[in-house]
Amino acid sequence: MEDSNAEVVIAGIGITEISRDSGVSSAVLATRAITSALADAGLSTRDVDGLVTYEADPTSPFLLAQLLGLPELHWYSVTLAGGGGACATFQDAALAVSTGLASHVVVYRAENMRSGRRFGQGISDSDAGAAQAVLRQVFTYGSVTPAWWEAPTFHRYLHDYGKTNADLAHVVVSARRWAATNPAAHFHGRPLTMDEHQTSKWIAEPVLRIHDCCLESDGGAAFVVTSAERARDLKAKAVRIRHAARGMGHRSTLMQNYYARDIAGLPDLDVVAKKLYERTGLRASDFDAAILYDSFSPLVPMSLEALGFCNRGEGIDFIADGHTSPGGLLPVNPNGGQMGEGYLHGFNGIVEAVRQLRGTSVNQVHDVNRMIVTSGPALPTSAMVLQGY
Amino acid sequence: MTAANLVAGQPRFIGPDVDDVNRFFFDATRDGRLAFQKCRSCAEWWSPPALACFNCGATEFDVVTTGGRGFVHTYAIPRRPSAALIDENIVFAVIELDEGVRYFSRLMDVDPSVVNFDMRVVVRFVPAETGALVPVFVPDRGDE
Repeated sequence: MEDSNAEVVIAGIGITEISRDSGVSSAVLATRAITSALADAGLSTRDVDGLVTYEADPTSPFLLAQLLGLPELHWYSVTLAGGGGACATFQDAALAVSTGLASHVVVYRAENMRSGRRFGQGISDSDAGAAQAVLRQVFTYGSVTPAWWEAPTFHRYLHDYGKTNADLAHVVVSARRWAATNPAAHFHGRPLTMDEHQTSKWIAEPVLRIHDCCLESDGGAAFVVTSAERARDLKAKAVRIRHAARGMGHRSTLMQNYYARDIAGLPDLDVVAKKLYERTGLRASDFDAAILYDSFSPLVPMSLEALGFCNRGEGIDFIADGHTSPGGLLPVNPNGGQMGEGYLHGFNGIVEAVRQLRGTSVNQVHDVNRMIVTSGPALPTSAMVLQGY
Repeated sequence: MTAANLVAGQPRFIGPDVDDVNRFFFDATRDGRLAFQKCRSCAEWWSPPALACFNCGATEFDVVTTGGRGFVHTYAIPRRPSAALIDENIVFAVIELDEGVRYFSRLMDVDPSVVNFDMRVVVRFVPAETGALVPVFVPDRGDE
């Protein structure tokens, strides 16, 4: 990391098919992703001495160590905050590698989130686990899905800046343009029109329609994190982790930002962006493209604003002007994102970031060298800066 | 959550579990009062229940009853998936009480299509699964 002893890189990526029914267990999906990431790097399971995933992954590092016959592990962790923990896994892995606690840490995430447990169908008190105490008030009133938790905040955002759900169509149309040319995307070959968006069913009226929500998918992805020095002898082109940060905003609550002074923002991402920019000396204009966590369409403009790509309240106009779309100034989610490609809790976007920085994406952006990547931003969250060589 | 949870005509409220952190709140609702914690040091109100003031960190507080009136700060009407709906015509709302403290709740006795920002509302109390009384809000017609 920027201020650590050793430069840390992503030296291998692996991703399974993203489907609606994988036909295998989440554990098998995880092993497939990991095996593929190791093959990409030119490593074997004998080289792995660390495993990191994040909250809600059904397969623990210990089970994977058993299933893959791993040697001694010197590092393992599970970062918190559900999808908000996606980039925090890279922070954990990078800390372990840069301090010499581990050599090759595999970061993974795999689950059958369409054929198995579906977040969008309602989460029970028991599913919420440790988050239950924070969520129990919304459960009491019958608010049991992420879309319903976040909709009141999104509604205030739209209201404060004179927008409606019809304006959100621009966000989804942009995502679907990217997905249309990605053969791995659920919506490959199927762009969306503004009319199709506006006639789709309400999930939370008058805020979110079904097209404003991410897909639910089966699949897994994994990465090999190691030092730049070790990566020089490996097979794949390495991508540098310039910095990764995590943070929780003052008065943050999980996916129901009802008590912050400004209910229409992303206070957790504000904290993380400030830290990321302080530690790297970078700012929004330094990025060539972005992977923004898009479980719901309003999160894309809100994240653009929190990261400083535009002023507060201008995110939707920025997208409507075409800046995030193919050929735009700031390509966002060139894989089609989680509304277009599939929902792997943020990890498929990170695979896309590495492919972009290697120059191997199916939707390759020209002259891309530095990218910002975010995680679920409406709860304690994390983000990172990735850079090519 | 399944459709079987939906009992026609009878509003349903899940839980709530009452413990040593939130007991003050449900002791008050039993008396027909909507009360929140208020910092003895800096006079900040807070919600949800906490053991220290988010504003200044002080741990001494009073439980103070509000007037139970406020306005809709934001809202959303859940529509799908229908299997997760525990009632018909639910309106989720974040209420800002006149004292400045916010509370997430449901609007009752109102046509969802007429709900809007800044609509005036007043608290009512209804029984939940555990027997605790939970606050809901109805349009404030200025009577009583």
